Amino acid sequence: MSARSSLSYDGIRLILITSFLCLLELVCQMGWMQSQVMVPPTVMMRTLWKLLHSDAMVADIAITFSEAFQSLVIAVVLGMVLGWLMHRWSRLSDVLYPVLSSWYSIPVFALYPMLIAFMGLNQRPVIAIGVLMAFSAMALNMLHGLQSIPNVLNKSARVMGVRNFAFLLHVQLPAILPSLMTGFKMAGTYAFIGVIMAEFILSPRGLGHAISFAYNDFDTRSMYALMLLVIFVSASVQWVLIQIERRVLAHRATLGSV
Amino acid sequence: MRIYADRAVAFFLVLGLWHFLSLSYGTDAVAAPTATWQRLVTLISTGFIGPHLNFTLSSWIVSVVLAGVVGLLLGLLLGLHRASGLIFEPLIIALSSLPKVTLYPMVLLMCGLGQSSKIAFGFIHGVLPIMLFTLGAAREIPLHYVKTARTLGLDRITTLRRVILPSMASGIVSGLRLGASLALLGVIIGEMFGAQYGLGFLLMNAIDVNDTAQMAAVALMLIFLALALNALLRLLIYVFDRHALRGFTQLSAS
Repeated sequence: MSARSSLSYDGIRLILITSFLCLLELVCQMGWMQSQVMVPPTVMMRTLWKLLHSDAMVADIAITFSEAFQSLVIAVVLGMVLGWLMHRWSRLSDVLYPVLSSWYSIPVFALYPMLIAFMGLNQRPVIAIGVLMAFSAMALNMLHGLQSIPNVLNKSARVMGVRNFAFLLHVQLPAILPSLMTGFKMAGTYAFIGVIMAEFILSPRGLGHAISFAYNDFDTRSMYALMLLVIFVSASVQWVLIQIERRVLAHRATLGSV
Repeated sequence: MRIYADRAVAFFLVLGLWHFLSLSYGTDAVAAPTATWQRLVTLISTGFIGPHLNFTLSSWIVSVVLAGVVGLLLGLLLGLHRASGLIFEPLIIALSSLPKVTLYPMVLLMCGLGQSSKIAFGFIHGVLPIMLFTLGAAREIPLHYVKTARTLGLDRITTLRRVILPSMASGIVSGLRLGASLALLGVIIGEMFGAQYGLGFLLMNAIDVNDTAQMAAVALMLIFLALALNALLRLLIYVFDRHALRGFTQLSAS
C-alpha cells in the first residue's frame, strides 16, 4: 500500500464528511427540519466557540478528563495485576474467566446509584464506573498475551536463570507489549465512555452532565454544540491512544525486523 | 468438581462482601442481599415486572434484528469492496468509540419519547460492532479460497453462499454476539431517560425515590438478564458454528 493511495482515501473521507455537513446545513437552513430537532452545523460551531470561552465549560472539560485519566490508570493497574494473577493461578482463572469474558454485556451503570449512595455524589463513583467499564479489557488482554508467549522464551529464560520479577519485567512484559497496547487502547476508550455515561446519568459536573443539563433545559443549540465537542474530544482521545501505541511498539524488535 | 467448589466460594464471598457493605453503610445506601431477594420475588410474583420486562425485551429484539440486517449487509459490502472498506472503517471505529449516551437527546428529539427511540438507541449501539466484525471477517478470507472458487467456475451467488459466507461465519457470529449485548445496554440506557416502561425506567425510578431495595433488585435482574442472553447467544453460536463448519468441511472434502 503506497502512501499516495492512503492519502487519497483520507481525501475521499474528508470530502464525504464535508458534503454530509453541507447537506445537514442545507436541510436545516431550508427549514426541512425543525430548529428544535436539529440545528445547522455552523450554528453548532458558533455556539461551541462561545461555550468554550466560559470558565464553567473549561472546568467541566477538565473534570471529565481528570476522571477519565484516573479511571484509566486504576483500570490498567488493576487489569494487569488481575491478568497476571489469573495466569499464575489457573484456579483463579477458572472462576474469573467466564465472568470477565462476558463482562462487556453487564450493565455496570446499573450499579451507579449504589456507588453514589456509599461514595457520595462526587468524582469517585464516576471514576469507579470508568474503572468497572475498562478493567476487564485490560485483564483479558494481559491474560491472553501471557498465555500466547512462545514456550521457547519461557524455556530460554529458565535456562539463563531469569526468575520472578526479572522474568516478568524482561521477558513477559516485553513479549506481550502488543496485547498490552490493545488492552490499553480499549481500556482508554471504555473509561472515557463510562465516565461520560455516569456524568450523563447523575452528576453535578462534567461534559456528560453539561449535555444532559442542556437537553433538560430545552437548549438545543448548546446540546448539539456539546455533542460536537464530545465527538472531537473522543476522536482526539482515540488519536492519542493510537499514537501512544505506535510510539511504544516502534522500538520493538519483531521477528520480521531482526 | 473443584471448579464448582471454587465458584461457590467466590459466589459466597461476593454475597458476604455485599452484606458487609450494607451493614457498614446502612440500608439507606445499600440494600441488604436478603431485602433485595425479597423485593425481587415480590416484583416477579405480583406480576409487576411483566410489562416492563416485556417492553425491554421487545425493544431489544427489534433493535437486534434491525442492527443484524443492516450491519451484516453494510459490513459485507464494505468488506468485499476494498476501497470503500478502507475509507469507511476509520469512521466506523471513531463512531463506535464515541460515548453514545451523549447522542441520546438527539434520538429522543427525532424519534419521540415512545418505544421507537429505545429501539433506535439499541440499534445505534448494536449495528457498529456487527459492521466492524463482518468487515474484518470479509477481509480475512484467504485469497486462495476465492481463487479456488473461481477456478472451479462457481458463479457469484454460489461463491458467496458456499465459500465467502461460511469462511466468515465465526467472525460474523462474534460480531452478532457483541452487537446483541451492546444493543441490550443501549435499550436499557434509553429507558432510563424519558420512558414509562422498561427495566431501565424502573432503575431510574428507584434512583429518584431512593428505594435501595428496588435499585439492587433491578440491577441484579439486569445483570442476570444480560448474562442469560449472552449465554443463550453463545449456545446458538456453538450450534450454528458446528453446522456451518460441517457444511464447509463437506464442501472442501467433495
